[in-house]
Amino acid sequence: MVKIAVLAKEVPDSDIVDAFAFAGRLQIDPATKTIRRENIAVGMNSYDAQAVEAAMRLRDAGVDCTIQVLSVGGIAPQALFQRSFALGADEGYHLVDNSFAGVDSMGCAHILAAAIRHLGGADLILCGRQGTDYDQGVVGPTVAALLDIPCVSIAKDVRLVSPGIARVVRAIPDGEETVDVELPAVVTISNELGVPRYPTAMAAFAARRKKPVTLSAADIGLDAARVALSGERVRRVEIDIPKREGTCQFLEGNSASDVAAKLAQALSKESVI
Amino acid sequence: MTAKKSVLIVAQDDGGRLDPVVFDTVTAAKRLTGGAQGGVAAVLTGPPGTQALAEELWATGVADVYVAEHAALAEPRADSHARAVAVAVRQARPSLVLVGQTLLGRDLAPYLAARMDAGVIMNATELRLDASGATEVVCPIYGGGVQAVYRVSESPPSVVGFQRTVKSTAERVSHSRGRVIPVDPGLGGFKDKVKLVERSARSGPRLEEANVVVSGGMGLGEAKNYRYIEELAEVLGGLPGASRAICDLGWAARARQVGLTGTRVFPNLYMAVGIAGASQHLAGMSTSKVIVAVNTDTKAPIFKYARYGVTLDCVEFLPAFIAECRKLKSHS
Repeated sequence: MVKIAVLAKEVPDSDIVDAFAFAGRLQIDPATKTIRRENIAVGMNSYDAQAVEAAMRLRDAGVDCTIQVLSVGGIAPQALFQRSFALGADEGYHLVDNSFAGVDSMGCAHILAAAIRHLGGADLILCGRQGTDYDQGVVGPTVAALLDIPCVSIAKDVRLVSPGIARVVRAIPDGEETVDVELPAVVTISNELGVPRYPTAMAAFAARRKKPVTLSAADIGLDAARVALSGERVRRVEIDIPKREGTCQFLEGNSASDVAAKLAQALSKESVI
Repeated sequence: MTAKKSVLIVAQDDGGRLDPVVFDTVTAAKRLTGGAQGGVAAVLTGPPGTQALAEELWATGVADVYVAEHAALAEPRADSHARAVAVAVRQARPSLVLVGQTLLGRDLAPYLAARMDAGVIMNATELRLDASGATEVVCPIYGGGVQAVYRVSESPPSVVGFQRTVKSTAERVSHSRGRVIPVDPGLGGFKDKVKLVERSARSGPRLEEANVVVSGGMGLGEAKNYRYIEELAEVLGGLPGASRAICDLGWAARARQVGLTGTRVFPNLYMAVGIAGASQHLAGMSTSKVIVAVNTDTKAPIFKYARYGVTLDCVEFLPAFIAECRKLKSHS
């Protein structure tokens, strides 16, 4: 039995954040140095949803596995867990503690690594390549370093080719890189994996009865002071939404050729073509 | 906090030369340290022979180059390289470690921070000092729609991932020979648990170095219209790019994706054709010199970044513009 742990994070819907920022409606909470989340839907980080998908594909491929989903904090974490259960996750672990409030990526990695240890380790740890909120990409490699296991990042395909070996195809700038990694290992998943499946209505309904196990810092044997330390080392002191006035010169004309000629002329004058 | 700043740059190679991001990190580090003598040092990690790259660093004015060579460092794996860098950090005792965000750098920075039990912050675009002399790091978040500033502690030195936002130039400021300080990477018993099976070869010109990039998005309507993007790019002597949306649909190859999780580009001319301008995309091209947007939706975010806007349908506009550019090129 292969034990797969998926690390998932709740984030504000990035499309809504985008639209709010563009419309000048995004607001800052000066106390916490975060964006105000009222009226912004939250959900599972899209890259993490692809990590859940990667786990499901392994099961589809015939891998005998248990799938755990672990998540730290959040405003409405039940949605994240219910989606995971509906897709086929066997166990959910919600990590909640007063000391986890406002934790950064490094602190989060410490919590997740401690939780994985507490749960007896995992053979394959999957997570998104980065969060769509802070875009850090720190959790995967850090969890790997803390557990002293390898990490393979930006995967588009994960298979188990022989006992204890995963074959991972990475989406690298030049194209693809295929590696074999010894388990246990962390693999971070990129959007190249493809669109994650949706749970069926019946599965979603059944999943409503399932609840994650809640674990505190003490439960997983983590010193709360360790988590706080991360926050002190890298402290967000300002947050702001850059204003963009826009000085676009719209080119108009009687025909497409007319507009094309005007643009070609303008770019030629700028010496960029 | 007001103690003298010193930065150790994790210099990475890119097929026998320094990766261009190294020059950006050198510039940022010099600015932070105010050009103080010995304020900026670098570390090179790689297989035997890596030391040769030290000359390129000396030319940028970085005199002290720590070099860790070991056969296990031939592959760009975060685990082994982070171990070697950690040894150099202990020797150099900097107040900040700066890592360019290459494919390796993005994993190496957090690995290193975990190994040193230090703080880490990624995607930095600027380093600066606050009024008290503490180091601050400016980072875009939420795909670039929001900007955050972090104050980072210096003991242990925080690890900062730095991203390219401009086309880097290797400016030669020094002709003197610097120092090579050998580092024992401590990889004696190290066993690489990641084995390479296959890797696509880097071929052809690179998107991030192109002077002209023409990108297509959903506004193209269907897959076959991407050929106009390729044709226009060719006529202009540039390269074709694409939005994430059309790469997800398979209209364009993955390697063409411009954006936060694709390639970041900084050409003289960037043409966004049928691209609305999600922050995911803007993060990868907003520092281009001249941006042209072609989109029927006059309210599309991309127009806030564009110098020139065309609100015609792209499939109507592209053939006309390709013809104009051909005319222009044949006259010049």
